[in-house]
Amino acid sequence: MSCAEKCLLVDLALDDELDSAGLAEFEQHLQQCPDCAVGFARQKALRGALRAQMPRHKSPSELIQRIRDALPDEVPAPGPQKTAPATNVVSLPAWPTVATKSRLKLALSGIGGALAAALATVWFMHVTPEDRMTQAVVESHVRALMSGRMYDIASADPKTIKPWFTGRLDVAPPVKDLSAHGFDLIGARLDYIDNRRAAALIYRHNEHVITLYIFSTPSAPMSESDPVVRQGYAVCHWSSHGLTDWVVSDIDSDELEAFEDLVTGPV
Amino acid sequence: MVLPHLDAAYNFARYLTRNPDDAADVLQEASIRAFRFFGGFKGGSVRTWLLTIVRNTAYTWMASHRRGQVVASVEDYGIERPLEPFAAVPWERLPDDPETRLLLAEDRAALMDVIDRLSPEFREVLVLREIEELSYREIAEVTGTPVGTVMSRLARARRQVQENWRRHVALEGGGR
Repeated sequence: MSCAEKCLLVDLALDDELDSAGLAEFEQHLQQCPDCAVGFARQKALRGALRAQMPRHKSPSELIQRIRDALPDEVPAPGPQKTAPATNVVSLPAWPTVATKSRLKLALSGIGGALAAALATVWFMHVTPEDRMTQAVVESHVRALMSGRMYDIASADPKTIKPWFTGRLDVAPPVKDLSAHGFDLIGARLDYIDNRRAAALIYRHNEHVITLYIFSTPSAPMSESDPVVRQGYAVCHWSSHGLTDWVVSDIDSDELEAFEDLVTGPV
Repeated sequence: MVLPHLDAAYNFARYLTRNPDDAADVLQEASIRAFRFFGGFKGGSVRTWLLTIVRNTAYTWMASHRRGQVVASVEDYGIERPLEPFAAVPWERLPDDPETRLLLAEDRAALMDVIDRLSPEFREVLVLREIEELSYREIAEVTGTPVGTVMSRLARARRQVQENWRRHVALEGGGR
């Protein structure tokens, strides 16, 4: 190895990326090459200075708080687990070591491509439009909570909110005052989900926020779904009279169904 | 799981966007993406995984919210040239070593300026290495580049910081 090549090892030596044999060889080279020795000393000084002086930007605490509030307390672990246990202990399965993993990868690389393609196809067929919509409304709900811009118009009065949508949507969404049942209307916004406009009505139930999305779907048949829980949020939807409603919240499924009954029930 | 790494994520976003407001928006969007893709998390380091998401989000963000700043491309900086070996760089031996001066906690703003002026490819590897103290392999994972590229970009980034810092010191009248 020439001196010029050895000199390229300065950064690797600095970053602990040389194995012990390589490091010993490099150190020996430093003894004989003043250029490398000076270069290494300078790089070391620079590294020390950068680590000491580069600002470590702290995130604003209100931003962290918003993100904390918006994410559900416990994100269910990936896998078939249905309900997340109310504990903070996260147990991870024992992952293979890096060495085993790379050996595995090597062994699998031949069939990997074909397998991945097959899996992707299965996955793609597996994701129904309903799944996609569920994901989309959950994300919209979380994004609104996180941004702190939950509504465009704050009001508890359906008579204020309903006309606000005039000219913004091609339907007049029905808006109900459900405060007598513990669901307080707090505001509304215009949202855009899955390439469609939607009215989003925001209700509060105890400390929980509920978003009720209303889409205009003139040709949708009458239907109703059971609540599903996705990433800690309960979601359900129904269609009737040319409108499709999606509702999402971190309340439990029973309360969500109670809310659905109130929304769909007689005024 | 993601929450303990939000500070690291914000810091990285801040260096990538060079702006606190954009960094906040990027962090928010990245948290949502992390939340969405959590099922796709395959184990390993959560921090590395989150930083990868932050990086992708930041680049998408900057491409669509570009505020009159042109993001320099790799080609502009000639990064594809082979790296010159150390000994080939002529070092003028100043008695008042610029690196020593950097240690004196002076001119933090000037240092920040030098780092901000690096191209994004150089800035990100420097931050991941010197602040997050990730290994080459982990940096390669976050940036989606081969380890060899990480190696050469990091070396170049350091050379560039060094040269620009020397220039700054020289302009200031050789220290003091």
